[in-house]
Amino acid sequence: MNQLAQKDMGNQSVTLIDAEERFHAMESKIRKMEVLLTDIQSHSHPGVMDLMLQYSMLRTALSRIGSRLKGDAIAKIHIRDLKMLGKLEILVFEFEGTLSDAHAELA
Amino acid sequence: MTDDYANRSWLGDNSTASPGSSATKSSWQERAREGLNKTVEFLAEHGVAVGIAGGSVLMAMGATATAMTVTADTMIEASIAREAAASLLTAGVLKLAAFSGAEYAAKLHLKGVEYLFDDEAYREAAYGTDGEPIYDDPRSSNPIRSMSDEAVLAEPVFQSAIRSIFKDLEHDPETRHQIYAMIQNNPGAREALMNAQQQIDQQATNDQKPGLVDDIDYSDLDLPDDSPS
Repeated sequence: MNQLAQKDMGNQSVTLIDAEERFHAMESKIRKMEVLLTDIQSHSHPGVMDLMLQYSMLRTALSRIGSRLKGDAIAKIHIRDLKMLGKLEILVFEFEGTLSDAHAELA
Repeated sequence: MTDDYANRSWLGDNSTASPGSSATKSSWQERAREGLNKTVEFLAEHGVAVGIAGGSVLMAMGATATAMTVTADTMIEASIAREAAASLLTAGVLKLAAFSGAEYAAKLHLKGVEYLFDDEAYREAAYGTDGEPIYDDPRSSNPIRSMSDEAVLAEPVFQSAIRSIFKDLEHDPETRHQIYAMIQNNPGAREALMNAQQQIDQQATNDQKPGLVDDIDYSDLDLPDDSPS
């Protein structure tokens, strides 16, 4: 399931059918990234705070969206929300790559 | 955990940092900045749908705008820490996300923000009842944590920090233009900026020190007709 979600990242539009699954894939990425951030957070490289800020924003956004995808709430999801999820997915995906490179250099 | 913090001098202690490595620009740094920019634009456009208050979006804009002024050859302690208002907004964004490294990084890299994290609502969100930091278990299916906008924005210094940053943007027309374009997309953020302005004007009047507060020039910001005067 994770491999499928990985393949779809940023390639296909989020649909009503896979919205929840793709949201959870993003959530899972954010959890994993916390560990990478912890490794580099003491570094005084000026890019570190950019990464911390972006991580905070993505994390806060995902945390808020989570409550909107639970149970009955998902029935109220609008096409706009799916587009929004698609954009967020690209941001999470790109951030993962950037963080991974930063981690390789600094950790 | 608190003992660990107490054993270190967070202000000006660079012992764990590795100086010198920022002399050459890292390949990922440009992408990090680009990503940060795109993310704050995302928040401006979709903040309402996501469920993030305008004040928090404004805080994120201010933090991003000041982060952009940090260049490759400045240590973050020397640059971000220079501006008290920038430190506060940056710490505010980290605090809102309530993750294990938020307090650590803010106290290490930013100055004068310690007290922001001495807050019951933050403790509750970022630490368990045993006072140990909560690290998200990648296998867990618990929802990701964050704090409520109200709890973070209630800190009165944010109003003046936000205003101070936006006042400062007058010296940086390019960033100012970019931020104002985003504010147009987010009525809540626009309102939060107006509120910050109003509260500080009011305070200045009460203090009988009007000379301390300069007005922000809003002439290029298309304000709604029903905005409070």
